[in-house]
Amino acid sequence: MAGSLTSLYDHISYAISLHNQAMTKLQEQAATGARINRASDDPSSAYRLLGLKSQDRALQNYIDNVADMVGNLEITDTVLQNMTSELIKCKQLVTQVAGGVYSESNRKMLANSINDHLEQLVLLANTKHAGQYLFGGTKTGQAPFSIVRDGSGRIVSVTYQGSLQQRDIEAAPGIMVPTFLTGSTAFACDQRKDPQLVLSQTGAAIGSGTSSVTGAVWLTVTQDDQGDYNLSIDGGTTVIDLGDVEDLTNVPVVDAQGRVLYIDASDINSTGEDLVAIDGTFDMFQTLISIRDILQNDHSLTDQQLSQVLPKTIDWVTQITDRVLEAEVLVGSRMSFLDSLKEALENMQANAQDESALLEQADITQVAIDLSKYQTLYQMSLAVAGKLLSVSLLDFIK
Amino acid sequence: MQSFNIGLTGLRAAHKALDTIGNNIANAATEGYHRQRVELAPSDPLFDGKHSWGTGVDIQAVTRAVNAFVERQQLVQKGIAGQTEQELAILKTVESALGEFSSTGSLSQAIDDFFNALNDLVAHPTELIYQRQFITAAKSLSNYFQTIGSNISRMEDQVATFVDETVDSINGLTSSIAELNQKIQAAEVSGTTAHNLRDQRDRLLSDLAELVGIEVNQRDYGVVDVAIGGIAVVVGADAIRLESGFSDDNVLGICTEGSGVYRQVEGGKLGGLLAAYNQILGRIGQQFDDLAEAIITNINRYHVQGVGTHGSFTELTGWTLDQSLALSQLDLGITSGTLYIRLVDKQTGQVSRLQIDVDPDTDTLQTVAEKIAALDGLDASVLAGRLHIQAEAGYQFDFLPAPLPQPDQISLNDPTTAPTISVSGTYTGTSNDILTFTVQGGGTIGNGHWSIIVTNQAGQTVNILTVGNGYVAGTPLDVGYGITVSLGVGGLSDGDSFTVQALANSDTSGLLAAAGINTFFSGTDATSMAVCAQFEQDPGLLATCLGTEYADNSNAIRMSQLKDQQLDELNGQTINDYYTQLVTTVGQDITTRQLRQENTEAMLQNLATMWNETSAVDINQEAAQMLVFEQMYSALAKYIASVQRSVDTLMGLIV
Repeated sequence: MAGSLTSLYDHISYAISLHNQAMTKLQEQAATGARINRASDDPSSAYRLLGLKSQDRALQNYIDNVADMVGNLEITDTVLQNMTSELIKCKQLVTQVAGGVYSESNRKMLANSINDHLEQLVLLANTKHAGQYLFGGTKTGQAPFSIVRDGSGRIVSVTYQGSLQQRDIEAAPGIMVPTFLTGSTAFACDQRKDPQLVLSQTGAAIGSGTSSVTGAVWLTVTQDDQGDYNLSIDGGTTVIDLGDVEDLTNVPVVDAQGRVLYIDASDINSTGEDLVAIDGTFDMFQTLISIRDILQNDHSLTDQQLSQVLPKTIDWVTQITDRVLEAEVLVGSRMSFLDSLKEALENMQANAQDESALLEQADITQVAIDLSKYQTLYQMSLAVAGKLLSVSLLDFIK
Repeated sequence: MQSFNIGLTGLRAAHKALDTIGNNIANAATEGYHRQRVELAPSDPLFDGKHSWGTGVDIQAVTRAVNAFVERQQLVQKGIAGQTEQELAILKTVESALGEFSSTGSLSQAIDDFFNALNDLVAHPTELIYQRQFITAAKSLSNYFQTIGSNISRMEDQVATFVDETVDSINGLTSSIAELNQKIQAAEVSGTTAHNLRDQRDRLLSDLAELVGIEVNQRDYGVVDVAIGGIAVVVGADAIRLESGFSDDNVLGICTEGSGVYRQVEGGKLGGLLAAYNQILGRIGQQFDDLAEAIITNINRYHVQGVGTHGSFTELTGWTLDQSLALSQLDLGITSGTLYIRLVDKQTGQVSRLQIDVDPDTDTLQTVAEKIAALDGLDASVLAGRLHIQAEAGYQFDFLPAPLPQPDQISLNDPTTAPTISVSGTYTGTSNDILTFTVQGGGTIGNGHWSIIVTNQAGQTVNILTVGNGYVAGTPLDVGYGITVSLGVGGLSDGDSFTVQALANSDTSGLLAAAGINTFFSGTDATSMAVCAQFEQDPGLLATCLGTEYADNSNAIRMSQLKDQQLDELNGQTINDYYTQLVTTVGQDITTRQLRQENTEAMLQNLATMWNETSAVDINQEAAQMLVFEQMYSALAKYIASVQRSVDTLMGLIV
């Protein structure tokens, strides 16, 4: 057959080339430990693998963020627990003074204690963790509560200056979880009931309109030169002259901030101060300020009036303590949810990593066996080439 | 004396046969050499009237062992192999440039890092470290796009250069083939066979087939005509030169020199290069540009409407555009629409909303600047092709879609007793709307039984707000779609109304993103993608907020949600899916071509075997032939000696 030696050479060199390519690929797999070192090694697996790697990175990011969120919530929970302790101590003080007979100086000492707890609560409300304030809603860069003090350094008002919106963070694909509480809702009750007269001296009654004042409000009734009664709920800054009012049964008494208390002024018969409480609206700081001021007897109440008012303050403290406890429960449930979510995310990540490994990793045992096989074939090809190509008829012609 | 002639013809034939065998053995390793054979035939006999007497042997011809079908198939398969090899080389280069599955980082990782950093920014929108981290991730992403885009662009340039070089090589080969045609024709017309010249020409044809797919037509006297993609390049002794260039629709191709009608051809290295340029690199480059553009456009679309922690702006400057062209001619996707600008009076705190209409067919950058400058509180101009917007002293501006803190239009019977109406929230609807609030019944806030009906622009009722008994004055009422309204102490009459503009998009024309106003990315494709310079110096400019308190993360959330959005400009795929498909399509293309290459190599191997069987020199066979003719030569020498002795004997008898 003509051309057989040349054919032999071509076949042998082709086979050697194929064995070389196979060995090169197997050596790469052995060196990297990966079956897929480029998309062309197995395009369909590569497609899945790229998706899994991306999913793994995204899940890790979510897990890290959830861990951050849990950390924030844990600190928030601790702060809320501390707040609850402070409020419980306040309640004990108030219960003590409401149930006993205290002298003015003793009441003032208790007022100072209440003030100390108030200071501590403001500090706690302005807690910062990892550079972010915990109770300012989306405004985490500035202290959520600002304080106004009087000349003697006592807190006279605590104003919320944070955001009314909570910051939503994507804890998992499509799952937004609010993290930072808004102090305006966490530390203030929002189950408004009808206003109640705690202390009535002037004959005023509660009107039929829906009032917007919160907590405990002092209604001041004075009389002007014309003999008309004037009503105020902000110490005289804003005054309603009943002489200008047509319907005395439902008078809107407005303060400088635009808050309104509807009063039935038809039976007002004297000047003085009435104390109105709106259950379900107590704000933590304002309530303690009010209680402290009552204990200080800033409104010059008689002992009998004090004994009428002080038991009510126990209920006020109870309401705000319950509100903080609600916040604790909310935070606790979010932490629990996030813990479960983190576990689920970690499981998803583990599954993705397992599937990645199955797709990507080379079976080293199989690679070793295949390498050995191709090496043997390669050596055989070389040996055959050496044997066959070195012999021809010319060797036998004399 | 015929005996001597008979002997001489035999000696001559054996001698020539041995020469031919020697030539075969000498050229056994010569690539493209076709084994030659001396064809012998008996000489014409002599007839003496009664008997026919042989006169020896003639050399009929020296033939070349050729299988034309196999040779033709080899040319075809070499063309396919050449093209496949070239396409494979370029695809593998692209795959290396992408670097997926390498340990050194890749574009897919950069995309993930970008969106993860954006997710971190959602959690920490006001913190400098996370702002810087996001900017770094964005720059890394841009760098990857620039690098890959530049690599593809460079590859295209290199391919175009290689095409030129290959066409030069083709021209050289066709010229040589034409010369050999002339020589072969000259030799064979005179009756001789030009085997060696044919071998040389066949080698050149083989080399040419590796460079480009060819069609070969045989003509008389050994001449062949050669065509490439239907273009005649060798006609007899004439070679037609080719050149490469771009057709009117930007397809890289070849044509005869000076014709200017370029077309793509297939087969060989040239076919591979042209396919690589026009189909492979063109497609991949376009896909990368589309991906980069989708990220740039969509991130910017949200970013332009937001603000950073610094809040509203006193001035903003865009990037350079051709200010002489109408906006539609800039090809930046600007459409007819409205640009809403929020103006803040820093002294009074009053916020108002201004607007300009944009008509891309008639507006230029200059006319847009003039429209903005005509608004109270704002000034605008075009500085060296860049739109510049500036707030007048005492003002700031932004493009927040947030509702104004007070209603836009109010219609009241008795404004003196009306309550203070406040609007807040972030509109979550998907299209711009105007909400109308109409009083039904009327009365004093917090008293009696009356309500406010909220309707949208289509007249549909969105909500009914109870503001009589039970409503606490000043508390926010949820209108819906993220908007809240609160009413203070006061009263309203039946039929009183006010409106709130609810914006989902404060720039329906796309002007801001196109002009580079408050954008995050600059550029329009992979090679030009970059992070705008101002963020490096002041990360607080990152527009993470949509709220008027400049502390929320709403805009960061919108941008981060792009990761899982199916985008129209990416064929309805997400960014990650689109890129993954791009990468694996390259891998699939490589796998397909590798299979084709293996098949082609196997076919070439088979064809080579068939060629070897027909045309190659087998040393063993030549050695056997050599023995035969050596024996023949020796025998004929002895025959002549015997005839000589016979003649000598006869001469001895006569003399």
